[in-house]
Amino acid sequence: MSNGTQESSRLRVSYVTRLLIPLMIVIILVIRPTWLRIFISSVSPFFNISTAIATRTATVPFVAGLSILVICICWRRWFCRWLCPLGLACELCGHVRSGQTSLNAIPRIGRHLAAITIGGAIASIPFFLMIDPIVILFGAFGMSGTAGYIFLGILAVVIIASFILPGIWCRRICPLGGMQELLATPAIGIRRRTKEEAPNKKESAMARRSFLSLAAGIAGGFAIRWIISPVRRRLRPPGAVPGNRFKTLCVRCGNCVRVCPSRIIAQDSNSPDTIGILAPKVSFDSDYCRQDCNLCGQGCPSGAIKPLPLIEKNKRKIGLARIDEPSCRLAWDAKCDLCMYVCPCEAIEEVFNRDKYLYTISINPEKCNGCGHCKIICPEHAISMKPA
Amino acid sequence: MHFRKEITMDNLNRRGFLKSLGLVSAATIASETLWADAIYKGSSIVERDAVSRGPAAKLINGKAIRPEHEIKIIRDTDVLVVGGGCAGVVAALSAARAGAKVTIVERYGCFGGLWTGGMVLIVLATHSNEKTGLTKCVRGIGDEMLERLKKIPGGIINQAPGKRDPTSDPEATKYIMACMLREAGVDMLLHSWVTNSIMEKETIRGAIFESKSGCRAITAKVIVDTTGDGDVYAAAGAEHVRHIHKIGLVHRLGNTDRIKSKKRMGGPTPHPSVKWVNMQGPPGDCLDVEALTRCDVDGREAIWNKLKALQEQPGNEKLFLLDTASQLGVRASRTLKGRYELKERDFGKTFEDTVGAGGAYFGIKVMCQIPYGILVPEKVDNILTAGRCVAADNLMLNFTRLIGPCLVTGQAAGAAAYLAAAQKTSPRNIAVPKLQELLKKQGAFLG
Repeated sequence: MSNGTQESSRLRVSYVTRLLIPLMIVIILVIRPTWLRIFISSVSPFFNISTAIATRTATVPFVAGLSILVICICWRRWFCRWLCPLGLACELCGHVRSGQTSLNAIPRIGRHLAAITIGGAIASIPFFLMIDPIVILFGAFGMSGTAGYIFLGILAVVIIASFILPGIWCRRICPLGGMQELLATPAIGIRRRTKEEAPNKKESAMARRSFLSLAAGIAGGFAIRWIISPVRRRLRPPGAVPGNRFKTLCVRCGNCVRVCPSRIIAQDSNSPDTIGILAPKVSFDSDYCRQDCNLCGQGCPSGAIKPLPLIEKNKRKIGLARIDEPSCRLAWDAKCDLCMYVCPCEAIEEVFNRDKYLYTISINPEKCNGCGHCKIICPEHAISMKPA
Repeated sequence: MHFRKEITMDNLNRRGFLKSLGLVSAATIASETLWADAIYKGSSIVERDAVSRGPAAKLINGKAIRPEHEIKIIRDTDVLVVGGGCAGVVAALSAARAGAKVTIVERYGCFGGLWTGGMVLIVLATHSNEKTGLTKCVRGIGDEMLERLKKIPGGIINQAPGKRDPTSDPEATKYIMACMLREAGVDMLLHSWVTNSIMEKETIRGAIFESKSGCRAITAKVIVDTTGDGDVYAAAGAEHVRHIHKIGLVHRLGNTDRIKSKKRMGGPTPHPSVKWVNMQGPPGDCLDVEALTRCDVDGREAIWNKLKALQEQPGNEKLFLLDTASQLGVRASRTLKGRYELKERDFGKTFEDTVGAGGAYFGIKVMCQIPYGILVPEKVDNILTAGRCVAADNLMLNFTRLIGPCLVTGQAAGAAAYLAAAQKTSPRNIAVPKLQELLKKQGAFLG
């Protein structure tokens, strides 16, 4: 009896604590702090460990999330019980349906998803980072446009599935849940050994399979990196990791789009390849990348855009300016030096061409960081930005 | 019906043909009689040669040596203005109107320098362009000149309230300048190329020039160096900085409104069918006569090549080269090391010794006050400068060389030269408040 009341009061407390994260998401989306990137990492251990491995850095968000990681190692599925708002939603949906439904027929793919993702992260291609429950919630609440609809769609699928088969998401699919089980495995083993219980055969088979998934993830990640040619056809924010790694590391949280003061970062809705869909791209249609701003890197939770100090960020190439010589004012002997005047890296020079007896603009590809200021200021629209 | 029509057309054609034939022959005869001198009208023979170039140079041990000789002083004046460009003309007018006896010496056959002979037709930096609206900076004699150009049909465009940076016609400008100088009673000498200065220790007393009449000298109380290249102050030993800048050959294209090409090919002029092309040209040392020769020859060749390429496009056949400038578009050669050097950060600054203000210039919208210090050399006495060669750093000379600031510095230098001559002192010692008062009386705007 007393056990039962204790259990139900704990449940009630967990209802409150599991509402903390949505509250934080709302607050964060309203006040938009500079260091947006801390949030997802510090909350979700799955996200935290995958991105830390993928970017091979242990930065402030990693350290911030370390405590939750440690707790999850000690107590099995601690996060699900006390923090996961998506779990709360699924649980409430499950309560609506009366009667028991067995999940025994469905395999526990969550741990494999987590293992594959961490394996992929070793090759810097974390596969299922985007179905982390916190990323889904953040995307569904925070994003507008196509990305928002996609995350809302995923959320709707999860909830409908929970109506039909209560607990399917949390117990079987969720990579965050699977991850916690993987993390807790050694701790359980230790506990068993101290209690001198015989090791469970089923569990050891599970561990073996998870290890295979990890290996598959590593192999798959490297395969993607080597087989699919990382053609960079889009301009990415400064400090973005190159090629396909960017497309998988980016969780489409939209923080960079949100913080950019020039509003030049947008989600790529017509990407040439599927894995690059909705990844942020830079377009210099109305403004250029400010040299006194590195907010996109500061806002990126996964490290797809590196959080670089200003000087470093200004050295990173977004793209390379190209000039269409016949359209340039200098081609008809007019005087113009706007691009030279605004270039922050002194990459643009005018060179006298003796054959044409004209000045032509020469852009030094080593100095140009692709900030796009010249493209914006050019009165004849003669400058275009191409991926470097 | 059909038959008759054909006959009438044939008749007309024949008649028209005969008519045109008659006209052509008449025109041939008329042009011969009108434009060619008849053989029986000979020259009149002059007995006495007025040329005094001194004894010929001698070849001594393979070296050409010029013997020492006395140079005839043909004028002794209050203010000698060397260089009849826009700054020189305004300086001469300013000094003459204040009451000085002024002589202006110009090496070519017309006034206006690069504005007219160099065909840089646009008068830039006339107004500041701040949030409150346009403020006219070039007032006084410069503005008076522009207003007089406005009275000539086809003399100037964009010279109206609310507009800035007018473009003038070079011939109208030459004419107006000469008229104004004559009205002010300025003694003019054209075709006279000042080659050296006459010094008395650290003080300049005059200048010598070469001309068809030989070598002559003019002495003056104050000399205003508006040569653009600072030839006089350099000869007098004033410290200066040498610059390499672009040298172009400005030219004008005709029939630009009668061709198909939509491509822009130069700036507008007061004539709708004429465009002026401000060629940028290669960087070169414009104090090197060989570089100048190269720029002129190569530039002209390049103009013809570009013209040919344009004419070959269908619909552009009527395009033609109206003229190339008689002076190369030299942008910078020397700048003075004056008592003050103008820098880019001086835009929007206020100076105690301001003598004028130049307007907005390419991206910078505020005006720039021009301090008296940039007109006065550090050491040499009795000399002032104005125009392109005033004291400015290698960035700011792109501002001071524009016609607007040249008109302003010209007027200031002229007024200062008058004061120095009247007070019998060196320009560096004149009271700047008095100069400012005089400039204000002449209608100038001091910023």
